[in-house]
Formats: sequence, structure tokens, C-alpha cells
Amino acid sequence: MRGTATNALAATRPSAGRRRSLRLWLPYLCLVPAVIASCGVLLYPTLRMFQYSFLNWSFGKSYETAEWDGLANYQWLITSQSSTLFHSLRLTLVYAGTSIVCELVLGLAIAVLLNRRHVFGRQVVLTGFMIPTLLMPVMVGMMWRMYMYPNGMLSYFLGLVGLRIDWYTATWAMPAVILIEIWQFTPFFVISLFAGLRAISAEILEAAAIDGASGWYRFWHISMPYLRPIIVVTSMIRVLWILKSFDIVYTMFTGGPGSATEILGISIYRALFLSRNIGRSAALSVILAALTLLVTFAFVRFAYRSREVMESSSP
Amino acid sequence: MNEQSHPAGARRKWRRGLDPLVGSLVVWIIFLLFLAPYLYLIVWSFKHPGDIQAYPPRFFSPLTLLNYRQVFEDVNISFYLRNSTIVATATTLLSVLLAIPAAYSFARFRFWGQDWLAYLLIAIMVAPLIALVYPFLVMANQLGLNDTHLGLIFFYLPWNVPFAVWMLRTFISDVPQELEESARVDGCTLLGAFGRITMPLLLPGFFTTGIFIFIGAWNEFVIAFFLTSTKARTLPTTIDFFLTYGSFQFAPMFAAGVVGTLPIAVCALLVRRYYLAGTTAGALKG
Amino acid sequence: MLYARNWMIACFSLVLVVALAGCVPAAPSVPAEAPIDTSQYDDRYSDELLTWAAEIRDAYGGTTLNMLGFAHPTLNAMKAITAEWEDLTGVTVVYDETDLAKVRDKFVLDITSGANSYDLVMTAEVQAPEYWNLGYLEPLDAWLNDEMEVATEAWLDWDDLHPGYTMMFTSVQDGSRYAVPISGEVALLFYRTDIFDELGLTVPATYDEMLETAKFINDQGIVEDGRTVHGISFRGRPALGGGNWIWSIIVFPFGGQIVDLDDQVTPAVLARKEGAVAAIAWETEIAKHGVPGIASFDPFDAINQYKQGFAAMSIEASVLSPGVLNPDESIVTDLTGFAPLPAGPNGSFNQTFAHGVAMTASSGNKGAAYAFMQWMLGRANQDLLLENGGAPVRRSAMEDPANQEKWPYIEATLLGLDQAAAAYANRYFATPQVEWVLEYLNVWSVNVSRAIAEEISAEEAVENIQSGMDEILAQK
Repeated sequence: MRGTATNALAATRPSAGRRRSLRLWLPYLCLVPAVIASCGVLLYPTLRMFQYSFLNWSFGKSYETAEWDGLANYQWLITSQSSTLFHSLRLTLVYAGTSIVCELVLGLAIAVLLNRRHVFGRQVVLTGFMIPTLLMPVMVGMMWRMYMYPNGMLSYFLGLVGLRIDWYTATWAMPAVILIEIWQFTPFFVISLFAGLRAISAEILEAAAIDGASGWYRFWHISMPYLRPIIVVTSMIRVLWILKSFDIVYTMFTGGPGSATEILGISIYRALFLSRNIGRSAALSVILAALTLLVTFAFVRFAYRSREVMESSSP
Repeated sequence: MNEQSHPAGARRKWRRGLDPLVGSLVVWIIFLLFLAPYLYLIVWSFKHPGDIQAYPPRFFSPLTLLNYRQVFEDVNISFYLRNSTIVATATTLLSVLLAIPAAYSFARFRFWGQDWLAYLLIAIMVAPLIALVYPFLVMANQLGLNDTHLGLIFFYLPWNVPFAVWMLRTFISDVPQELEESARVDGCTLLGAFGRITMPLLLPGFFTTGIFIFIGAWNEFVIAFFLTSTKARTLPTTIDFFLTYGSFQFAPMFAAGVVGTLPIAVCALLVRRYYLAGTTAGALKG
Repeated sequence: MLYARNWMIACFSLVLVVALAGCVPAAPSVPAEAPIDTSQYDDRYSDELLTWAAEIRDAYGGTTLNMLGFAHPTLNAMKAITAEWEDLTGVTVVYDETDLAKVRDKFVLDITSGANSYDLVMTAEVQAPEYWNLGYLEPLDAWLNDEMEVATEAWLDWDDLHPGYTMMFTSVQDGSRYAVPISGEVALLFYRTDIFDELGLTVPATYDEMLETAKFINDQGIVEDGRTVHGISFRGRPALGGGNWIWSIIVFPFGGQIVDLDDQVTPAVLARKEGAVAAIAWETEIAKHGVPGIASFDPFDAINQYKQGFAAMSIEASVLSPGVLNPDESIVTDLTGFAPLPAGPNGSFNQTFAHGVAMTASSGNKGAAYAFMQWMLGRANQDLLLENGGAPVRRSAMEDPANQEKWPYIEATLLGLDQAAAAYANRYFATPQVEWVLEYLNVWSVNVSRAIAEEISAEEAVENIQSGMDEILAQK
């Protein structure tokens, strides 16, 4: 970010008061379509969700039957013996954390490998890498469900190298869904990070190479600062998706075996459709939303900090 | 990455010769590992239902078009393909269109509350979809949007516009502002400078953003499942047809999976020179 | 003007894509109004039935029925013969389809949000009580009792439908009938005849024997073509029709109970705790000799392991038998025996489960919808449905020797239905007909699954089930 447009405008166009007030409002006016399309549609349902979390209301009954229940739903979630809130929270963090860290590390490694000077068929590889992310999540769940059967493709190939993993047991259920997540979404990181690596101008890297910087040094001190905003934004988008996602876990295990994969998304689903408790499911949703808000906020703060770092470090 | 300028010893030279080979090999091995489940899906979608689950796998059993015939004739998947195409295309176009001004504003202007407004666009999406389905349905009924393409597009936009804003914002700030400023000095209006100078450089950005939005809209399940019944049902909801009570119909399901992915895979292939070009450095130099 | 060209290309290709999409044939086509030619149906329908069809055509011809169903062999069979119905009566049936677990979520949301999209809905026995207690379904009594509507016994004949199935859709509270069964099942024991012969085993007559048999087979470590054959496979997923299923059947043979036998609502697992605990403990124990991962199997997975030769036995639903006999899905078509469930310490009891079609209270086409049910359940169509992969629900069809000959599982199914009748005589019902039936089932399935996965003990599971159900009831 080099200087601002408003400054440039002021320099080139001395103007009347109306123009100045337009300039003042222009940035906000530009936001209107996007804000209407997103907040305009989502604000009302989100507020309703918040309101539902204070109600005692059975799924399937009309809204008129709902009763105000104060904080009872939250209280139940936190104190009740049968509440799975903390168990789910822990599993959600394990699930999301492990998946995203693995995806990021793998994605970065593959992007760097792809960005080397001579990679045979780079375009083909890059396009091909899109494919796992293209698949419908429902389809992904179903196909891996079959691949992980004792007679499935994965079990067969693992068997060839002498491994026998019973994916459907309590020990392996969580690793199984994490593996699927990694398979499906690492390419998302690969593509974004590769685009980021490409955008780093060759001159800078050349200059560093002439100065005698090692490859590792160049990567860590020159490429990384450039990549950081992309890493942050990509990870943030992924966090936003994965915290709320439940398709794959639902299709594969429905939270089982026992409660081994009961992430928050599954708890919300269960509370709404099986326990028929709209209030409790809304309260869980609010908790999940708060968690997501917290995590994304941390990411955004980090993004801004890294942007400032970048700006101050660039000459 | 320019290795020719390295001070080069003999060992280094030898390594340089081998490097691309090893690098390519590693990339391709990883790539094939990632692709294997999908390749398996494609090949197995051409197998006779009786061979699909055979153990050990029958790699060379005869292929058949039976599953595809079933998917197109019994399930009439072209109807759902059509719905998906309409909804995903419109969602993509509208999202990008609506996002451009906001992305430009975030990238080019400095104004009070900028960071918070950008964050607001993310923050509005934190509610889990399942919790919103009921209000969505009530809204759709009141607006007469239930089971229509327009309804799906309407409810897809809020998830995709913020994404597009965030993506395009990065791409716009990658385009050097000096280019635009010099155009303005030459007498262009703000809009003209953006349209003539920045827009063409943004094509990769549009395609990258667009393709991710398209994928998202094409694959969305929960909204499509609850907001449509017979007229606007999209492709992902058809997978249910094969979860027959009593047995999964893997054979036609695989065929449907391939039918559902190939169009986007082909699209991605066609526009790849745009979205993978993701750099303005070339424009600067050339 | 480089950018202008690029944009033109982009816009052009988009227009092309949309245009191409538009060319693809639109919605499932509505058959054109054609003059009826009944001659082709003369051999299947009597004159009386054809007259009835003509009357229906006059009254409702041209209307469209929306039916929400779940992917099911019988639904596929129904779809296969629906063209004939449309031809006969001029009433179009449009199917909307999803799977068993999601159909209820979709239906309830459709009704509560006021969309009211459907005239007919396919329902499982565990879903129907919720629907009717919430007033979503039209009671069928007025229609069934109207002699004018029932043309003949060859058409819909409630008394010929197997009572084990019809009672699942008959309210225990007031006797109203809410759905007609189109498919039904009992739990059966599937076993590998070849392995049993080779090892000199007999079909287990008690649950203890079954446990021993499973352990014995599993300990043999049989490997066929690289597949390890385990003792048993059954379902234990923490989802509806998962962990709750077998437990709710075997809890009675083991001497336990779930709800109070008199009012069929009040949770009373702890009243006969030993039986309930023994049933879960048995499941946990036998799962150790089964295919690994039983706690995450749903019916598909469970029967699939059996069909693919990874298990020597399976306790599964009779309605899955056609799949076991289908060479496209199964490698044990000729090697499978069917037996009713064994006896527990308390005797031998089974449960029936039924899938039916119901009319929604909000439907605007009730006359046409009922006529469709009548036609579909006709005796002649029973054989046609069976032929297309459906399940028999009329007693006359099940007792037909020709059908028994052709479908070997029907005999064991009838035995299972007898066991169920014995259970119902003792008021052993595994489906409480209350609005919150799914909440109960959820509690069962989660806790049974957790016990099988060895997260908690059988005792804890039973206590959790009681307290969970108590909590649900206290809220009502």
C-alpha cells in the first residue's frame, strides 16, 4: 500500500465543497452493495438465532408455542450432566486445529516445490490440484466411507504396505475425518500460496541471491513476509468454514462411534433435529459463532499487524 | 529463484542438473497421491455394479456405461445439472459484481472504520447454517422464493460477497496505484482509470475469486436441500437418491459424482491461464 | 483495447454456458393428456377397477400430487409403476426424494415454515407418531371407513395388510390410522451357510449360543481371498436406526423394558434394570468378535460388511434381504441362510418396523392422494412391486407359495412377525407413540453406541438412558 488515493485526488484535483463531501462519502458508498447483499440477508436470521437461544421451543411446533426461558439453555449446556458442550468444544478444536495446521504446512511445502524453476507439467499439476476441492462434500463423505471399508481402496493399498487400520473404530474415527479434510482442502492452500509466491517480484529474490543469501534464508526472510497476509486470509477463510462444517463428519460417522467425533456442528444438528430443542441448538450455535468470531478476530488483528510490519519494512 | 547467478562449483552444478528432476518427481508423487481417490472414482464409475466393491479390487474388469445411463435416464440428472449451472453462474457473476466497489474501496481508500467494516463482512458469516435454516425458510416463503432459482441465489450471495470482497481487495492492492494515478493525470475519471487500467490487470483475480465462488455455490448442500423441493433442486442434493434404504448404490453415485465434478473441472481447465497467472509483475515489466 | 476484448470473450462464454444450460431438458415432464386406452390393462384389472379409475380420472384428472419420499427399494418400485397410474387416472405424481434420516427434517421444516409443499409423505414407523401428534397428518379413518371409496378388496384392503405393520401407524391412544404401510421389516439373523456347514455349527437358538458362535468363528481367523471373516456385523451408530435398533428389540428377550408397559410413555428402564443392562452388555461383548467399528455402522455399513464377506453372521432388517440376494451388491447370494432371532432368558420376541405413505393435513388434493394409495396397495400391484424390488406388506402376498418360493426370506420374515405379535401381546413396543419419540430414540442410540465403543459401561449406559428420557419427559 503506497500512499492513499484521497491524497492523490487532493493533489490533482482542486475541487468544490460538493466534490469534497463526495470524496468523503465515496469509500462508504462503495461498500453499500456488498453490505446490503451480505448483512441485509444475514442480519435478520442471525438476530433470530440469538433470540431463539433464550426460548424454550420444540422443533416442529409453531412459533406461538415458544416460551421465554432466559438463560436456561446456556445454564443447561454448561452445568448439565448430559450436556456434551465441553466434549464437543474440545473435539472441534482438535479437529479444526489439526486439519488447518496440516493443510497449511503441506500446502506451503507443495506450493514451494511447485514454484521451483523447473517443474515438469506445472500447469497440469496446478489444475489437477483443484479437483479435491471441487467435489461435493456429501460425495466426498460417501466415497471415503467406501474407501475406508475393510474392502475399500484405502484399506487395500494400506494393506499392500502391511498396515491394517480399522478406520471405523473409536481410535481411528477422528484421524479418518481429519485425513479427509486434509485431502480435500490442502489444494486450496496450495493454489492460494502458489499465487502468492508467484507474485513476489523476481528482482527482489535475484537481488537477495546475488547478495549470497541461502535458499532457506531467502524463503524465510523474503518470501514469508510476503506470504503472511495470504496465509492469514486463507487460514481465516478455512477456519470460518471448518468450524461450522459438519458434512464430512456427519456423512462418515454422525458423531460416532459413541461420541468420538461429536464436534459442535454435530451437536447443533443433534440438538435441533433429534433432541428437538430449538433453544438449546441456538444456544450452541451462539457459542460456536462466538468461538468463530474470536478466532477470526485474532486472525484479522494478526493480518493487520503483519500488514503494518510489511509496510514499515518496505523502503 | 535465479540459480544461474550463483557462484557455482562442480558439485553444485551436478546438483543443479538433478534438482529439477527430483523436484518434479516429488511434486508428481504428491500430486498423484492427492488425485488417486478421484481417479479411482472416475474409473470405478465405469465399472459394473458387481465389480465396484470386489476385494481385492478388480483393476482390469470390463468397463460399462450402465451407471451413466442410470444417472441420466432414471434420475434425470441433466435437470439438476441445469439448475446448478443457473444458480452457480448467477451467484458467481452477482457476487463478483457486487464485491468490486467494496473491494476497491477497501484497497484504495483510507477511511474511518475501514478495518472494522472489513471485519464486519466476515463477522456476519459466523452463524452456523443449520441454525439459520428455519429463518431462511420463513423468509423465502414470505418473499415467494421457496423452490426457485432466485431464492437460492438470494441466500448464496451473503456467503460469497464477503469472500469476494476479501479476495479482490488483495488483488486490487497488488495493482500498483501509480498506474491508476498516471491515467488520472492523463485525464481519466476515477471510474475510467479503474476500468481501463486496473480491471484488465484484475482478470486473474476475478477468475480466481469466481472459480472458488462457483465451486462453493455448485456444491452447497444445506440451503439447497431445505429451500428446494421439485423445481430448483441442485446437483449435490441428488446424492441422496443413491443412499437407498438397505444399500448404498455406489455405482450410480460415483457416476453422479463424476458428472457433478467434470463441468467445473473443465471450466477450471479452460480459464486456468487467467487464474493461475495471478501476478501483476509481468504487466509491470512488459 | 485489450481489456475490452477479454471482457467480451468472458461475457460471451458465460452467455454460452447459460444458453447451453437452458437447452438441457427442463423439469420432469408432465405426460400429455392422452385418450385413455384401457385395453392394455384388461388382464390385470377387472371392469369394476377400470370403472373406478375412470371415475377418478373424471374427478381429479389433471391434478398433480407432490410426494416426499426417501430412497427405498419400494419407492423405486413405486416410481417404476407410477406411469401406469398416470395413464389410468390422469393424475401426475411428482416425487421429491432424499434419504431416510433427512426426510423428516425436511418435512417438519417444510410444514413449520408454512411452505406446505407436499400432498403425500413417506414415513417410517419412528417418524409417524411425531407427525401425527403435531397434527401434520390427515387421519385416514374417514377414508378407509367410507365404503364408497373402497371399490373392492383387490384394491386397498386394510385387513389384508399385515397387522404387524398396520399397528405401527395406528395410534395406541385413540385408534386412528395415519398411514398405509408400503414396506415393512423384522430383524432377521443372516448367516453364512457354507461357514456354518464347514465348522459344523447350527443356527443359534439363544443369544448366549449366538455369542459363542460369533466368538468361535472369529477365533478361527478365517481368511478368504484376503478378507478376514469376522464373527458378526450389526449396527451401532449413534444415529436413528443405528445403536437404538437392536437394543430396542433384544431388551425384551433379555427381560428388560424401556417405557412403562401400561402407559407406553413413562421411561422405566431401571424398573427392570438387569435385563436392559444384559442386553447392552451382550451387544458390547459380541461386537468384540465382530467387524471392527460396529459402533459406527449404520444399516448400510453393517449389511455391506456381511454382503462383502467380512462377517459370518449379521442381525439386520428383513427388508435388506433382496440386496443380499442381489449379485450386483453381494458375494454371498447363494451362501446365505435366513433365521428368526434367537431366544433370550425371557423368551423370543421381535419387533416390526414399517414404512408407510401418509397424507398431509395441509394437502389440497386429498381425494386424488387417497386414490393413489388405494391403487398402489392393490393386490395386483403387490406382486408388481415385489418384482420391482419392493417388499410385501399384504398378508395374502406374503403367504402366497409362489412368492415364498421366489423370495426365500419371506418365510423367516413371517416367523419374525409371529415373534413380534407375541411381543405386542405383552405390550412390548419399541416405538413409543409420542410426539417426542425421536428424542427418546436419540438418547438410546447415543448411549448404546457409546457402550459398544467402550466409552461407558453397560450399567452407565442404562442409567444415562433412564435419566435422559426422564429429562425429556419432565420438559413436556
